[in-house]
Amino acid sequence: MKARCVILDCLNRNRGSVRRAHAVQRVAALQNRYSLLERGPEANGTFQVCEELGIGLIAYSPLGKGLLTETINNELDAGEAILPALRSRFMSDALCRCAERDRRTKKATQAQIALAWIMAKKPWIVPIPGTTKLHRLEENTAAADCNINGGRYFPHRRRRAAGATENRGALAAVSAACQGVFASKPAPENGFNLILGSA
Amino acid sequence: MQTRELGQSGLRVSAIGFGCMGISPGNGPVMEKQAAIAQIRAAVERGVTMFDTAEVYGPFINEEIVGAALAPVRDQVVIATKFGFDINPGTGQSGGRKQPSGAYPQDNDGFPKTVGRRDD
Repeated sequence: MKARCVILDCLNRNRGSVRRAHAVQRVAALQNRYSLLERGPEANGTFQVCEELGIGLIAYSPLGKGLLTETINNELDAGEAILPALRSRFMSDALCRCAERDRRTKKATQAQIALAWIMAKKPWIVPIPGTTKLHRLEENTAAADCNINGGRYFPHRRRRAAGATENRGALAAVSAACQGVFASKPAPENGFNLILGSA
Repeated sequence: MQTRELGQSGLRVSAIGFGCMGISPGNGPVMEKQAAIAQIRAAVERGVTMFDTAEVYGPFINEEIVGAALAPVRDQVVIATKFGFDINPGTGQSGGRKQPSGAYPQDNDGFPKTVGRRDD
């Protein structure tokens, strides 16, 4: 047993450094935040470099820190009305409708659709949801069998990618607000992980 | 569980992995160590073979838990970890990435010591 592969954690890396690293030591995978809420990798060159060099992608925070799950609907007070506003900011209406239709026809949960959507994008992406609850683990792993037609989902628009920095700031603000909500409640059930800034 | 190859690397893992960051103290809700180990093993039982951890989660404690949980199935799973952070041993705070190369505690095969290894 020994270290087998190199995986680059790419939060602050540019695509040039991926190429340089790959030239020295074969890179097995990149690790980026990627979800229905964070689609930067599609437009910022990450997908392109993965495809070109045969590198996989490990998608962390695939459930948007819980924002793409039912859990957060239940945890947040209705009065805060933060979730619809958040989703409309990051996801187009068409994307929301598509996800909702799949959720109903597949009899799947929001989280399962969010994971299945990632897997449908490219065959070389592996999402890594985290959870402290057994039933959420079962829900997440069952998403592997929830095949959806990724082609029906509208492609990522560059316009949104251009606002990625702003989006990240908004996501951070919402995450902070959610932590306040969660602080006085039992552990969140699904995917609500803090992402360390330098990781 | 279906499997996927990460690019053309030859590294084949379960289509859905497990992010371990949230199962140890220091990253959100605290989970008892035995419960965390049980959760990771439950993932193995459901076909998950890709586990993600990092030296900086905890720091160190997450790697230790993941290593302990997966020791019996080490040859059947893939563990991804991350290193290179400047961790203050006193406070556990990470000041960024500046460990010089080679400073990461590793065994003769370059495997992270904190995760542990099975001698085989």
